[in-house]
Amino acid sequence: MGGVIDQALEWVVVAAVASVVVAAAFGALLTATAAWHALLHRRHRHGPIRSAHGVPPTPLPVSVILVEREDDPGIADRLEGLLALDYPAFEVIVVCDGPIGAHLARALTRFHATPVDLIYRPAIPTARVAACYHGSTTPTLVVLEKERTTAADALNAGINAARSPYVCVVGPRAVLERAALARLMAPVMEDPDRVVATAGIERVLNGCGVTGGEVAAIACPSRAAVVWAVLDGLRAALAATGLSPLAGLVPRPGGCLLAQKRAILRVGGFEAGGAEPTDILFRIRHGLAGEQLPRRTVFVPEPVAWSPVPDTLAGAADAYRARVRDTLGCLAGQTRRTRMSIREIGWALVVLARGLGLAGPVVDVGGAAVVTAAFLAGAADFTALLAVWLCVLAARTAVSSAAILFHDATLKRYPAWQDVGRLFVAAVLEPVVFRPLTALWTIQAGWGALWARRTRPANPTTASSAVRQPA
Amino acid sequence: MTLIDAMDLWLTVVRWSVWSAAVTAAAAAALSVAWRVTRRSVLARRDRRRERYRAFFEGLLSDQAPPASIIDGPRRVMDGVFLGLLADALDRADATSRPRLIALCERSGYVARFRRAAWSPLWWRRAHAARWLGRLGSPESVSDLIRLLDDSSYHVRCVAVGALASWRHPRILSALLKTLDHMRERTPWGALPRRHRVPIGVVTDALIAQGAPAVAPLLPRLQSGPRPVREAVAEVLSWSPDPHPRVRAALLGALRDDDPEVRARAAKALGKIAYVGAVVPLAEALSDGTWFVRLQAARALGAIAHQRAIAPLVSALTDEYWQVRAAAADALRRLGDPAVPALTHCLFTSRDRYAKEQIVEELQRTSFIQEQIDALDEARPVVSFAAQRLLREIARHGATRILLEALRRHPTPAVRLRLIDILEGHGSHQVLAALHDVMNGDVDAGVREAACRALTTGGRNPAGRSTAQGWAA
Repeated sequence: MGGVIDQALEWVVVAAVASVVVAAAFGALLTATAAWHALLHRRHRHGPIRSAHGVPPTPLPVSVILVEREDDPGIADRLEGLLALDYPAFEVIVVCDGPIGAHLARALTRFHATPVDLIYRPAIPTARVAACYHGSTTPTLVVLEKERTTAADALNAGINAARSPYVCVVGPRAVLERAALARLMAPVMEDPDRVVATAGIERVLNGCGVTGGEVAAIACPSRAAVVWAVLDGLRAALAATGLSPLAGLVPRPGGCLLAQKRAILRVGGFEAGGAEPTDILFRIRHGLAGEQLPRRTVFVPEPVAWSPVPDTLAGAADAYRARVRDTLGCLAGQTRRTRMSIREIGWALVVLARGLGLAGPVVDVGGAAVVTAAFLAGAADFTALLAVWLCVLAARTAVSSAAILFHDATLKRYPAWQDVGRLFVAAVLEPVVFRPLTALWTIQAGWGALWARRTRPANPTTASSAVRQPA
Repeated sequence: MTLIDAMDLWLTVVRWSVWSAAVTAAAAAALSVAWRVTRRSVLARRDRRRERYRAFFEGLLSDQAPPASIIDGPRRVMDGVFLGLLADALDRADATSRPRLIALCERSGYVARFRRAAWSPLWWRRAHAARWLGRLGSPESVSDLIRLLDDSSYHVRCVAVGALASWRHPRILSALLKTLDHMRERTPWGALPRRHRVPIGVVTDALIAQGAPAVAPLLPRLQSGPRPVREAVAEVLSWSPDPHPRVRAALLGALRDDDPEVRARAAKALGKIAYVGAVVPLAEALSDGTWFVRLQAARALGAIAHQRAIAPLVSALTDEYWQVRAAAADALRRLGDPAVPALTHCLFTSRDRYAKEQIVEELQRTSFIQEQIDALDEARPVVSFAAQRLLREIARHGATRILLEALRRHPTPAVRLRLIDILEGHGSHQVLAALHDVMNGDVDAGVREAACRALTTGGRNPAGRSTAQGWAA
């Protein structure tokens, strides 16, 4: 009996060491591929956009979709920023999920938007769209007012109203770079037959100065929760850049996602409870995999959006738990779609990356605790202990440092020395301070998601729109 | 080993790990500092170089005396800053300064270098060379680029076609036509290439870039070429508008092609050349069996903007595909004032709800409705009556919000009175709520009274009357 327990303990230790080492090796692999991808992109970036055969392509129109769920006080400035995007052909569709609030009403007055009865074609069934507004002086602005349901439903309403072949979904309260659409559309214009979706780097807005809907001054605040969020965002950008050449996709596109409208319509739009952009990307890839078409999803290693993050630890915990829930939902959805062709192996890598990203803190902290306990009990040797702790602390810091260095090589980096120094200090402290906390939050969110699954209410019903609907 | 020893060892491990993490971060921070300092100095040097090169190119592009050779000699051939500015200068150069610039590049050995690079065993160097030879456009390099059309690398072949597209030469046109003739049927997944072939879209773009000289040799291929070639030729003709009678005849013939793609592109091309004689065939194409042919025909009729197109476009407003309906309505809107009577007539007489909705949709996207609202105050009764009648019809087809907005905000009481009269028969809650607001809050007593009367009587609609009386109560 004792032999069996010893054997089992030995396996647990080996599994803990192996998982921690694999996670660290995966981080190193992503760092290497990110550096390669960024280098290639850097060489390619200079000069005008050209298609594969060198002829400058015609800019394709884009519909920018913005969902307004809470009455954002800065909506007018954000709209001003969106309407001033540096791209020749685009329209902005604001979907107000619920009654129009005071701030959006003021914004409508500012842009001389008047109520009109545009035809709403519900290619994707959504809740009732109560009203449409059209900017009389800014004809590229359309505002939809719909019954409050879910963010996914609001996005679907925006997609229905879009008149362009490509839609750009902007995250809540995100501020886009002036050149965001040009950056995101560059891969599409170079290869419009194959590229169905693109995304870019999302940065943290806290501490930055915003003027006229554009980030004018870049700075990193000193609050610990924000610094940690910045570091997390930089690591996510590194991982996305690294995964892009391997799998052609992003593990966590946040700020904005550009996708072909036809591809979104084909998969039935965003699903309720799956408003996360990655979910739609999973489904687009899955939907197109069956057609044997060579389709690509591209990550652009340049900043395109700036999003605010909570600046308190409690807020950060809530946001992290929400993210874990979204990821779990997305992974659960992915497990339902098991029919993946051989060319979707890269896609499986993305799923693995997401899974590792989700389980990473638990693996690190749990692995370190298990191996330490086993070492103290005499069941693990010194090499295993050293490997695990080096991976947990040094390798983690190395990946974070690589992310900061990678950020240094991209556009719109933090200009002040103090900001970068703060990030390096956070990179050392993060495995000791924040990693255990994130492990705890992951477990809490996972448990909560499991519990909620038993008592989940039915999906909200969709009703036909009150706005004029043609055949 | 005792527990104390184990704890001691564990602490040692943690200490080492923390130290190694700190050393890693410190090394990365040092690297970051070095990177920033180096970058700053590199950027400063680059900016200085750029300024020198820019001054050089500005002098070259102006009428000043050209320098004997390129600054710093041909060793700068790999300098990205220099090459970027050279490409920019080539783009900006006019007919007089461009040959000067190319001659200078030839004298300084640039063209020779790129021609040598076109023989490199490395495909990316060949592609780079092809791109630059295309930009420089030296007649010496035509043969190199034509040779690269048969390169073993797909990427090099594509770049060579693109490079040939950037300038015009009879040999280039014949090489591109030969490449086009080698096109066979499309692969099952669209225009993507098999190995040792160039996508037809690439060749099409290159032929489009050749402009008018490419049109005449393409016409026979439009009549008798294989299907992808006919499609490509129709596409080229749609981008290279040529009003020559032979072209027009070929395009009109292509409108009767078996392939709907060819028919659609021919319709698009006829719209581009704005050939008035094509109105009747295009009007016939509005009843084509394929919806995108009808769509392109509607767009082409909008582009031709001839009054004879109005009637067929009005009939296309009842098409079963909304894209065609929208294109027809858009075309009518583009036709401007002459089409307005037809649109309004269709609005009054058509029995097709969708056609009426489409007309109202397009009218809302223009300032026409606002003009009609302002015309309600017109002194001439004919004009104000016509506006009132039209707005009533528009409101009847659902576009009430714009009228309600005007009812709440228009500064002229007479207009608001007329709007109340227009909206009187509507039993919708939005209209009633707006009338209620006006009844309670309008500054003009007459308008308030009219709103109250409208709410009390409820207009001609019995259902609306009962609801309105409820609101008034």
